[in-house]
Amino acid sequence: MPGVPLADYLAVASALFAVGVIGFLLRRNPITMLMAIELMWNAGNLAFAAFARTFVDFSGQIFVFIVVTVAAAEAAIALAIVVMVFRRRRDVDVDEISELRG
Amino acid sequence: MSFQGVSISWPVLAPIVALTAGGLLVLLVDLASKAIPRGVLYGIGVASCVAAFVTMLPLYGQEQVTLNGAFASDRFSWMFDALLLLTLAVTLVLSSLRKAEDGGNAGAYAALLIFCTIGGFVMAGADNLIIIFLGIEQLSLALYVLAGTGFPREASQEAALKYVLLGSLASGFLIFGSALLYGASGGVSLGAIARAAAAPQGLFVAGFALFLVGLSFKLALTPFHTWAPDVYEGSPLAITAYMSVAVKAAAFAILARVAYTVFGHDSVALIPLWGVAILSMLVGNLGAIRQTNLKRLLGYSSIAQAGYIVVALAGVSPGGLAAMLFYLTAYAFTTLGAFAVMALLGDGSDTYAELASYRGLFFRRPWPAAAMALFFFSLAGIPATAGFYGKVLLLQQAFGGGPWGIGMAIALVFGTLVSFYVYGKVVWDMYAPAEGVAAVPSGNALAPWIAVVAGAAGTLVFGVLPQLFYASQPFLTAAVR
Repeated sequence: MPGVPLADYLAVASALFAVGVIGFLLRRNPITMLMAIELMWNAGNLAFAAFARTFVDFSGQIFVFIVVTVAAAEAAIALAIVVMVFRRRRDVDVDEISELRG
Repeated sequence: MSFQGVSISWPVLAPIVALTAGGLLVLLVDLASKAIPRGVLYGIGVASCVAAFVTMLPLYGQEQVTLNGAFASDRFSWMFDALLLLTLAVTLVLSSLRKAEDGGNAGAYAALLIFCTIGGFVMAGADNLIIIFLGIEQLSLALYVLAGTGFPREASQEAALKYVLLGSLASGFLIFGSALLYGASGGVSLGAIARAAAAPQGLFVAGFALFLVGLSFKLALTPFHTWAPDVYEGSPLAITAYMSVAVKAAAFAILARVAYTVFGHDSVALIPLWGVAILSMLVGNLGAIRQTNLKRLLGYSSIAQAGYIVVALAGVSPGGLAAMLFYLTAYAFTTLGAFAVMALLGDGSDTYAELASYRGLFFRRPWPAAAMALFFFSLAGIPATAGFYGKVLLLQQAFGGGPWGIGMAIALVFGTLVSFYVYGKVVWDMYAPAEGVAAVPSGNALAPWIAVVAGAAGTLVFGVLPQLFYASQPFLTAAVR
């Protein structure tokens, strides 16, 4: 990929990030919202990897590895919590989950 | 940049190692036998706090940076570490009280709390973006689970779900912001970012803005605070106490280190932060007015308190760090004490958090009522309490911060006036004779009394003799290089 300039990577990363934010705001299903969050995290990863390549520096790549690892742990915990809520309510629309208000 | 020669200074990491060992030991002991009393597991947890504190003592006077410049051990991080250990110990003591707190899984619960605090230690010493992210995530991931440990109650489940969704969203902002900061500066260390901050470009500004958004979510600063009251109300009581003190302290450690090492002076880039602080002070105090649940009220209160603490950074002056640490310490003693009173009076049900059941408390339980009044006076900032001197120090900083500092000072004074009404009403209710009110459940265990007395002692000592703290000011003003 020597021909792809940095700006293109950044454009794609920014677009991914925007899609993630919009998806989080528009969707009401926690699993879909988690997928949107995953997009945002990976947008950051793409930007990190692109910069690391440009700078020929390892620290950006290391950040990507760490984000990927943490994302796995985070997904495991988040899905467990969604399952816990689902078992109680048979329903996981976040607008319905609103016992706490005020 | 090479992979060889990672410099590791084990003495610096000893507190973290001690806590890790403590957490693993709790897990192993829990695994060994189901007959182990819960008190033993929490006792091991408190012992590992003490061990971690002891390993911190030899570090005194030897400031250094280890892990190839990624992790700092200085006066600044020691203060936060000590505060985190205090909070962890109090939280463990409060949690040991009854099963409803930990959902019957004392071992996993205590271990998670300890691992959470390790995340806080990492945040307090983090000197580059990777370590900042790791620390925040270690703290957050454990807390997502802990928020849901009261899972037989539906509110606790809801709190966990909201926390994990909004917390991960915040991390998304933090990661993308970090990526752009890396792009603008060519390195992940705060030193490299400071060089880029000297001549900021668009990439740097965008990255720093996203980074601030992510951190503001974690600190529950307005307009990113919406999750906080729900999560505070739904989580188990001890976890709410932990969140409102330890999470705030650790996130402020990052904010302060970034502000001081990257900018080192009052910068245009920090203006959004001042705006967010003013909003937090207003929304936190005004939102607290109509609350009928004490945990939720303290949730709004913590939004306002976070806004106050930002004021300490107004001038990014050396005295600001001392002011911030004084206020955080005062806030820790006061808030932990208030939650300890609630734990003392509660019986594991949800009703103990309803304000209505505190009406006329003084006539039934005079001492807890007196302690609660003291804590609420301190949160409001009445003279002779720690909260008062904290606010005086904050105002001093605000006046050194130019026009935005003055704006924050006005918001601080206005917020304090509103909070007089909020906290005053609670105290008034406790001392008003009550007829036909459901008596507050009246637990009376030894464990929360220890925390109540410690909180009251801290609140009074820092309130009446603040010069004890001023004496250490020269020590603190040079805290961050």
